[in-house]
Amino acid sequence: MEAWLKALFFPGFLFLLVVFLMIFYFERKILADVHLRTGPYYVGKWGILQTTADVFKLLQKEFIIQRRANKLLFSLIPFVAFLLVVALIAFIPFSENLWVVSTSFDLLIILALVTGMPPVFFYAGWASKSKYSFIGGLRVVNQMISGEIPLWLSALSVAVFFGTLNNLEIVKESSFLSFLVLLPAFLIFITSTLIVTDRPPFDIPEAEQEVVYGFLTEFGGFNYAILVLSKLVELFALYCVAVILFLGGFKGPVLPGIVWFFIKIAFLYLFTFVVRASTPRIRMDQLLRFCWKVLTPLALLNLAFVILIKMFLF
Amino acid sequence: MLEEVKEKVSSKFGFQCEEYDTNILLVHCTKERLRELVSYLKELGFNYPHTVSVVDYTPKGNGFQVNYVLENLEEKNLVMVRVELPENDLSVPTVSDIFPPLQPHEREAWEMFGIDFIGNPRLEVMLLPQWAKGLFPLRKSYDFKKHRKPTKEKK
Amino acid sequence: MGSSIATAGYTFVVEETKEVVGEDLGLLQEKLLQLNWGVQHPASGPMRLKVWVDGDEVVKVDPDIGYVLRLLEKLVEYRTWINAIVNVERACFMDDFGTMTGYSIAAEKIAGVEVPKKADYVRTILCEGGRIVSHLIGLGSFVGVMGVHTPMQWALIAREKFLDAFETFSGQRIATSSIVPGGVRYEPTGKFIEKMVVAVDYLEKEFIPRYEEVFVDNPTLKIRSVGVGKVSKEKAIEIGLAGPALRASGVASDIRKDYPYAAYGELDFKVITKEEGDSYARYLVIWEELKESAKIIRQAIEGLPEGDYRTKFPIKVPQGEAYVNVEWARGCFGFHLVSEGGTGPYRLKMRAPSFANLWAMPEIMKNVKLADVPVIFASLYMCHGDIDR
Repeated sequence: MEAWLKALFFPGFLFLLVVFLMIFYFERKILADVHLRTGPYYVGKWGILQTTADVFKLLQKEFIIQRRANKLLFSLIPFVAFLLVVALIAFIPFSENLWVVSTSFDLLIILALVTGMPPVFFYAGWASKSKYSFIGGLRVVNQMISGEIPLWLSALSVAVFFGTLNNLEIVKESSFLSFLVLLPAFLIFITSTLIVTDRPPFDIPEAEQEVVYGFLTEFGGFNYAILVLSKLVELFALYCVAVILFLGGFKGPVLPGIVWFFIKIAFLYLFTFVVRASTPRIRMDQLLRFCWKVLTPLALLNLAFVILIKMFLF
Repeated sequence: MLEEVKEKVSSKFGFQCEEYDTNILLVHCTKERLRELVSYLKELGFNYPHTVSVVDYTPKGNGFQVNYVLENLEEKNLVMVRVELPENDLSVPTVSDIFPPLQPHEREAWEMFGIDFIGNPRLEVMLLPQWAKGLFPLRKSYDFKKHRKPTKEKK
Repeated sequence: MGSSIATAGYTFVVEETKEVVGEDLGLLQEKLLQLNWGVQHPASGPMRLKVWVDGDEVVKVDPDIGYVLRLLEKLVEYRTWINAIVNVERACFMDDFGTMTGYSIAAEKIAGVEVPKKADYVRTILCEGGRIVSHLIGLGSFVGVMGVHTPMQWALIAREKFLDAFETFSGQRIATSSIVPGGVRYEPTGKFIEKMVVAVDYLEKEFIPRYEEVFVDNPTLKIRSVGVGKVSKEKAIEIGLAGPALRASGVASDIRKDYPYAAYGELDFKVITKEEGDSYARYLVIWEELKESAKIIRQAIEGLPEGDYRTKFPIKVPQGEAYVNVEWARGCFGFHLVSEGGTGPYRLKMRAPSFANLWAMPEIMKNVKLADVPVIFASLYMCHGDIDR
């Protein structure tokens, strides 16, 4: 297949849309299960088309721009954010031959793109010219920057361990032993992923009860859908990276590679949803203290540990 | 316990006291010595204020009645301090510096009855909308029909 | 006198006419930012909190209320003695039995009517049912302000069973109008008792263990709420907190125990107090009262006597007045009822516990973080209908 066809259809855009509708659906179903509710039920078999219907409802909505808002930025930002994060997906190998691009700097590019997100979200909040959006924007920058350091450090330890930045090679070299050695790095990576993508319990920038909806407050309809989707893609991409770096990517017996990949992703998502259903949100200052006083030193120690292992055992 | 309070209050201030209910003592007070009495009651242990309740007796020609309800959390009894106000002089000194929780209650009594609590730092409309300031809707003289907003006529 | 208040350490916000206007809303230029926490806000309910923040710190809070004002105290004056319960119960829909009981007791005191014992017991069962319903929502919304909606969903399922019981009793699920001066309006049938037992069983056997496992002693919940909005015992009395918030500061003030009404004098229960006085203690007080209420309902059902459930209440009530307190779900609810010998109340003053808690809140919310505002607000356990009446 041509690269652009891949980018558009199979591991690319359309495929992603379907995957996200399914993830949405499972999130709602699992949350409903924890809540002792039924969840989506009426649209389609088992309510499976409910999320699609919701997305189409969002697309039909009126395009509202606040009078005070910076109109250009306000309407541009969602697309910029979406393009930035969708580019991440291109570097993910879903199976041995299912990838769009593979370079020798895969990991570096992914992390660089993730680091590019806070300013975009901040501008989304700033361009709305509303108090709550502005506070949400400030919080998002604060939180993402403090979460990205441990994210980088834990990903770096993998790169050090395998001696490469190419995703495919990392997957090929991974083994059960490497999983054990990188287990602490995995835990740090998952925690900081939750922080960077502001998922509960770290959903401080869009804490409903405090700042309405953070930087998303003034957005509606299609713009809102795109912005929320780009946040979800970011989480998805980081989970893909986690699967590649720590869980052996598409490796697995009997079943084809892509199935194993998605089984692993599904486990990570299940963990996210259960955490969301049972853990209250923490406070900004507590999060910062946790990031800088606990997570970053641990990530540094872990890096030193991996380097030592690499020096003496391999 | 209330017997003691009754004796103390009537000997110190000379106010008429009567039993209002089991556990509740009613003290008829004058507005000049209200603050003195309330701070004395606070010293006696009635430190938990309940509310300021105003009753409008103007149709009978008795003016207004302001009741302060204070509770003693230790001894578990209440005292009600009653001040009678004539219709033409609706002012009473505030007790919101002795009992800060009573400040919003006084404010409510002011906006609903128009009783001026002299010294209350914040007498402004709270529950009513701004346009209804000075209507005093809980007074008996308030006429519902007069202030009803015109409804849209059906065509 | 105004200055003496300022020296006593209390700040009453006197005026804040300055509005931030213009292109940039004063962002970045103004050091203090005024946030309107409400009226259109996911967690505020129909009221507005003006919150002045300096960075992430809350400098000053000023409530702006009156959005659900119905002037119930005035409406009552146009009703007969029996009809007035409809207005009284609408003080707050969560626990309508408490308010109706208080009003009925006050009316009975003026009229000199003795209520049959069975009515007292049914009132107790209903009041505790109402308290459980209200506390369930209180628990749910307290954890709900921290972004977890699971407790609310679980609580609503447990609440549903109680509403079923109320429906069997009176035909209504929420606004039941079932307690009137002179007793209760309906015969407590066997079916009602059965449904109440089912509801209490569900609460004790399913809801409480499940909830206790996850949301009591939850470490993240503790991180958020321990030490937040701390009020000492002296301070709690001084700023006039009411209900669970007062008991969480170590003041054992419970009208059910102190001035027993209905059948509470004959039942065995304990007053829950905590010493800490922070948001988490207030949450735990609500949680433990819930368990205590379930026990009271069981006792009252066991001791339900035979006999009449209602006596005749006179149409015209002689002159007189009464001040009656009841322990409502959210605290001590006072009724000052005045009769002038007419067919209806001459004046009814309702002392609302949420109103007291609301105006104590600005004192508690000094120098806290912005994220603590909803936590403290939810922990004080207020009802907007009750604040505005």
